[in-house]
Amino acid sequence: MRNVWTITWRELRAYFASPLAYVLSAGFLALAGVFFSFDIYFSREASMRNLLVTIVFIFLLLAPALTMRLLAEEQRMGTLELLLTAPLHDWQVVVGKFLGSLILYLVMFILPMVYYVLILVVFGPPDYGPLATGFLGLILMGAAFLAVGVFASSLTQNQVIAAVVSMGILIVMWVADAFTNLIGTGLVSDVLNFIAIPRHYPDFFRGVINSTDILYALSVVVVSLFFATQALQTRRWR
Amino acid sequence: MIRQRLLEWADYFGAVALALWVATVILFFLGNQPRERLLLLAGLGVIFFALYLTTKFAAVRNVVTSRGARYGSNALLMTALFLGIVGLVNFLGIRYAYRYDTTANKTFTLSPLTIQTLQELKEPVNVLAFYSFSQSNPTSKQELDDRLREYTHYTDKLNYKMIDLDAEPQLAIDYKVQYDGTIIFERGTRRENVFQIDEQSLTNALLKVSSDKQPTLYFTTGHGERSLDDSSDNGLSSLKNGLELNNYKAVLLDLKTITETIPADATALVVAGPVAAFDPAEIQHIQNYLATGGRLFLMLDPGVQTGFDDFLKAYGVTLRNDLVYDPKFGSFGRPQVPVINSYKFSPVTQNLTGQSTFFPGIRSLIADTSNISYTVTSLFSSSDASWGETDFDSIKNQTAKLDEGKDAKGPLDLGATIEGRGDKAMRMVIIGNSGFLANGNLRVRGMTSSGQEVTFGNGLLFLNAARWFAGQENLITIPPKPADSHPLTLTGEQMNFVMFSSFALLPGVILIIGALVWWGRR
Repeated sequence: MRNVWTITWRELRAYFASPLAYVLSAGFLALAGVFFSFDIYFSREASMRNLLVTIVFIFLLLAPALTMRLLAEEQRMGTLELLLTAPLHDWQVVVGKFLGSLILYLVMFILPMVYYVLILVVFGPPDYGPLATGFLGLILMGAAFLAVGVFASSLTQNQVIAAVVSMGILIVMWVADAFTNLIGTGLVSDVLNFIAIPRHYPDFFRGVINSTDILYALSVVVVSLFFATQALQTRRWR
Repeated sequence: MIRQRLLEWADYFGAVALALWVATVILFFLGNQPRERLLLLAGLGVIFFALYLTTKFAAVRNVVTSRGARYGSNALLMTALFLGIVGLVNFLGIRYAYRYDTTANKTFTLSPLTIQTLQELKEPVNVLAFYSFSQSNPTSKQELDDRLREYTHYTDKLNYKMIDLDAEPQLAIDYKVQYDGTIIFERGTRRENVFQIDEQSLTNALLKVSSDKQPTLYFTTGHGERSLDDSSDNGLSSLKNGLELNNYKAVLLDLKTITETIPADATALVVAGPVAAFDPAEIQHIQNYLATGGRLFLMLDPGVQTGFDDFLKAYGVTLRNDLVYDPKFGSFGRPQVPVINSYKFSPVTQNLTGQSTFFPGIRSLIADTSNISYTVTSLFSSSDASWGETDFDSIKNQTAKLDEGKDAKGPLDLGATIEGRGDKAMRMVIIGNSGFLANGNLRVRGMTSSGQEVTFGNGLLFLNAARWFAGQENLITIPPKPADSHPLTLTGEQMNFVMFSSFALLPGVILIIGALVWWGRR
């Protein structure tokens, strides 16, 4: 476990040293701020429910940018071999980098949004339950998106390709249930309906904790990181 | 030589095999291909793959036994196993989902009664919610969506769909939707309409539509009433058809044959324009029926001694023995046929806004709305230019005019509802005309002033009454939840501050931190 944290810490230092994280965060917050203000202005409701839906989607598009470099760059610079030959398991590298991106997400994207909560509290009061579950949902969904990004990054040396691939996967997952009426009923359509991302956050944003949704997010994380580990392992025997 | 040629082709064989298999898979998912075709494609793929294998045998052997393949097949197996486990866990997760409602009002928790109703559903029920997406109040539509979604969590036999009235007008016509915010519960051919979105209304509609009980309307005979089996212009056969389409049974009943009580399965009794009087014994049966929560639709035409006068007085209504002349509301210049366009507030008239009803020869009544034992409500009235002509000879001679003192002056009440109080309360609708439901008048189409063809609302009036009769008890009572609103109070200045701080200040702070870090590292 300590190995994992070493990687995580290393990754975090890299993130905070580069302008990418700050720029993305500032841009994200500016956009979210606009949506937040308009939502409050028009609804006069002390609730973030409508806003969260927009934010989830914005983050869907941002996650690839945050994760594209994680494994791709190491492969490009040739430092990946070094990592892999160190007394580290492949999965430790993958998980470590994932946690790095997750912590960055929490600190630079989620934490600042507490400001919105403060505003609601001061001018509200809001219903606290849905706010808490809303953030929980945002964190879980974000984790899922980042994990997919990590996987995409493990496939290639080219950061841009990593970003494109992860965005592609995420968008397919977003619209997975769009064509089920063509396929009819049955196992395939049930699976597609389940994979669709927009089926798993509404409950959180409304104030309902649903174990199915939690399981979904965790599954996406676990499966993505597993595949990323597999991808790294193929390098061993190429 | 041949060997060499074959080797070149080997790759093509492999490619063709792959293409055939991919095609098979795609066609399989499209779902409309006959199995033989799919098997044929797959089989051809196998043949080509076999050709590929045999021609490239040596090369294939090397790959398969290589280290990469060994590791790779290992990885493939592990992956398949892993995915299988994840799939199973999620499947179980859906089956045994646990949900916790954190809202302050528990808005998303359903009452145990609703949950029980949902879990006991045997047949699939569809719910169609018709809203005008551009005009509706978005909060109530959202609340309905949330609530119906909650319902679907407890059973897979319930499906719902929010339908935009503006986008699908044909569907609205098919389902006879007239209002923005109509929710229709449908099971097979049975339908139940609801206009309120609270849990009690929805669950009750669900219960009603799932029950196999068909409301039965008993039409009296034996006094020259209009008959359900009569398909002439004067008969009620069209009404009977219309009722059956809406899942009501309409049956004839001769009160003289009753020894004890009105049949227990009667949802309501209907008296449709008798020309002879009812016996006191028959009226007693009706009274007994009403006393135990019965329903009655009474249509008594002008100029008939029906024997109901005292009966009605006890309920707070007096029928005048007149014929209403309304020069202002009269249809096509016939003042004895008033056309009504505005209605008082009542469940029987609530969705008649904008619809016209007409009554060929109607008598007026006095509704004692101050009656304390019963809630008496007037339904609609004639214009202020109308009067109730009591001189029947003058009617025949077409010399009818308002005789002060004898004829009552308009506006005159033409219809009324009476409702008892407390448990097992009776409900009655009384109208001084039965012709408005006759076949000849039910099918009449008219023209509005803008030239649009419309059907009159005569039949709808009766259907509303039938619904009001049948939908009496809420089968279950669910206390309503308080509205889930958390308003935000901001002055204009505060709003500006919020906007500025979230759009500029917050991101600005991040950028400043970033700049400091960058500068610190230099």
